[in-house]
Amino acid sequence: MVFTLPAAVYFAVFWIYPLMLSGYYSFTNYDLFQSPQWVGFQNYRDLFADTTFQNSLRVTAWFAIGSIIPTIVLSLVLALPLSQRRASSVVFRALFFVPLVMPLVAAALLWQAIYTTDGLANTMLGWVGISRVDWLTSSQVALWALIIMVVWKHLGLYLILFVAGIQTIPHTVYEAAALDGARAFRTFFLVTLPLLRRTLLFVVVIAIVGAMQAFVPAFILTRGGPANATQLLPLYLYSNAFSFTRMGYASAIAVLLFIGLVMLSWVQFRVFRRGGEA
Amino acid sequence: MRQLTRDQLLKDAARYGGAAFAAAAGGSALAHVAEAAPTAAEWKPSGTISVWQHQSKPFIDYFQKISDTYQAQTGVQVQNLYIPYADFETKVLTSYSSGTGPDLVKLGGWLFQYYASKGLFGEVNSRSFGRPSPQALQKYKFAKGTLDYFTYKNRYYGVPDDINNLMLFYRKDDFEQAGLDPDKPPTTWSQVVAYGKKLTKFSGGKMTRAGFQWWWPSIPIWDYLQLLPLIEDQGGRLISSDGKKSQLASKEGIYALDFYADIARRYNIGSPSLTHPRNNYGLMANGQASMIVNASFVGGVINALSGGKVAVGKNVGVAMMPRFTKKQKPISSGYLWGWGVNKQSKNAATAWHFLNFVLSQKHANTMLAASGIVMPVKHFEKLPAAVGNPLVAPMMKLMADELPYTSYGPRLNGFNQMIQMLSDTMQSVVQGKASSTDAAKNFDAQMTQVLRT
Repeated sequence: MVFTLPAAVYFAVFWIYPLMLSGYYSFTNYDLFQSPQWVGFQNYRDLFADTTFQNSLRVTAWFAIGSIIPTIVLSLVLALPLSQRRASSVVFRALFFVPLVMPLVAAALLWQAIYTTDGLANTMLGWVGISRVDWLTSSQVALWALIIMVVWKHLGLYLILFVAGIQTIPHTVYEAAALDGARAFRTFFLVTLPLLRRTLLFVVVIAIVGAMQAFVPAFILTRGGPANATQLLPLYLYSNAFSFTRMGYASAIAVLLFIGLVMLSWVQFRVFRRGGEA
Repeated sequence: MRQLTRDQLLKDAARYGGAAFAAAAGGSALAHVAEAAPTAAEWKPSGTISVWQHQSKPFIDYFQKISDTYQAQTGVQVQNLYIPYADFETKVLTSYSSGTGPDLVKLGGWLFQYYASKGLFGEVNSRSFGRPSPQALQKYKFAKGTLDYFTYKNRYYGVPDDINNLMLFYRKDDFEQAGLDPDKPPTTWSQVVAYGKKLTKFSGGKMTRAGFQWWWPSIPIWDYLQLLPLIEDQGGRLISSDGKKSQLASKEGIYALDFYADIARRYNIGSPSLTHPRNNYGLMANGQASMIVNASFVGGVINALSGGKVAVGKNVGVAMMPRFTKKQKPISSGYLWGWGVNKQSKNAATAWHFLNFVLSQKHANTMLAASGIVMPVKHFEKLPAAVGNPLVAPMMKLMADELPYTSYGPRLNGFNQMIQMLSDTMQSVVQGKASSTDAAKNFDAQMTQVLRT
């Protein structure tokens, strides 16, 4: 009991207290400087009538779907050959990991240069005869520009996690599958994937939480524009809190985001645990 | 011909300024803008003051020198902290909310109303400037109206340190190539459109040079600064004079929105898809924009970005902001940065005293020469660094000419929210996501709540 006390105190001070305070502020009108004024559910009522918030929810959902699925699929596909114990695998794994260790702000600034009119992205498209794309200034394209950057940034992390997961699968299982005549495709879906369930659960959970909390790419590259096309929920929350000093309103967004993430994580655990422990 | 570089520009500027100062030491060049030393007999500066600001490297270097000199003369410890702009407002806000804000902070003028209304800034101590009242201080020390901008409920809460107003920059060499007179820049928006059509270039269906380019990708404060004169030029207002009603959906507001978007949408003389990491002035430096509206600070940046090939006074001309008709008075929009002193500061008098030391004609001159920052001291346009440097002089003259016609727009507690929503509105029209009428009505509806706060 005594040994758990530091952890309990830490958890209470840095998790429970801020969470409860945020919950309280969400029912108040609070601007950081004057005492919070109780307004009941007004912030929540305003949120559900707020078209920018609704747009932000849609944008965040598309961003999550658009970034999580390709990142996980790509990293899984790449993890299969790169989990082989070869020198070249180590080199490639390290190369894929480089973007991850790069500070996110630096990466975003790099991609800002890549996406300019005469930047690398358009130059490369020009090589294959595709005309210039308005990466950050078209409301149809800007979100996809952010997604490409995020996929590039996170691919290395998921790749390493999948490689680690694949390397823990005993070789005997693959030998048994081979003796039964299973080919690569069937082996992947019937052996590798089920045995990677725990890794996959972990990756999906952190990917969704990461996507729902994504802030820096939109903050640096687009500031939520053009015309709110990349107004991710955390960015909208930040703007309300620190640009507009609407702490109560921002807290209501935070509470809804928290509830949404808890529910999503719960669903994921239910889905991945169905069929017993891996 | 000698190639100008950024370093060379700064050296030249310092030389022009320095030469003038040498003369001033002999009692001539600065005579027309000379000022009396402050008479701060009642108290003596002492202790430590903390100073927060964001700025560019040349400014920081020079500000540090000013601080060191002040420190040597008075024994006051000046603790400077320079914060990147992206984090600046948030850090200032959170520090003040937790009671740990610096003694002195340099903020965008548009934020002063908020800080004053929340009781975070103390009133200007004019005695520290050797003047009996803020009104006397305005008259004696600052360019017309620039100190008055920092008032809230008829009280003064800040002093100006950095002024910019929008003007037209145009490439004279592009004008010549297009058969236009490089000494006759457009004075009306219809001329901008007509000239822009001659100046715009395309390749493979894509614009490669904009005849006229707004600040794209958009940034809220710049969207606001660009739209404001378009509205006010027609006699309209973004927010009613009593500050209670948003009026973008007025005839003037909708026309301004349409015109802003039509640069790309209808006239096709500018394009949001033409981008540069340094915005429209980067495009101008690159030869990808022939006309832009921007503030005087970009003069030096264009020069530096182009390695001295493109410069004001050389192949870039400056002119007053265009108007819709020549009959109208000139119009421009602008912004000021200013210094506020923490109301909780235990050393407020020294903080004000330090500001008096910083905001002198001498420092204004050297700051202009060193960093291109224009301190709005009285007759800033006549400072040696302003008149002696051909790369700067045209902009300084224009700034002074425009000053009486410059609008700083509404001052609201919800200013940041207003400009964010305005930017979203403008871009939704440019992107074709909404008609200007619907977008303006939506803006006005959203502003109802902002104006209640």
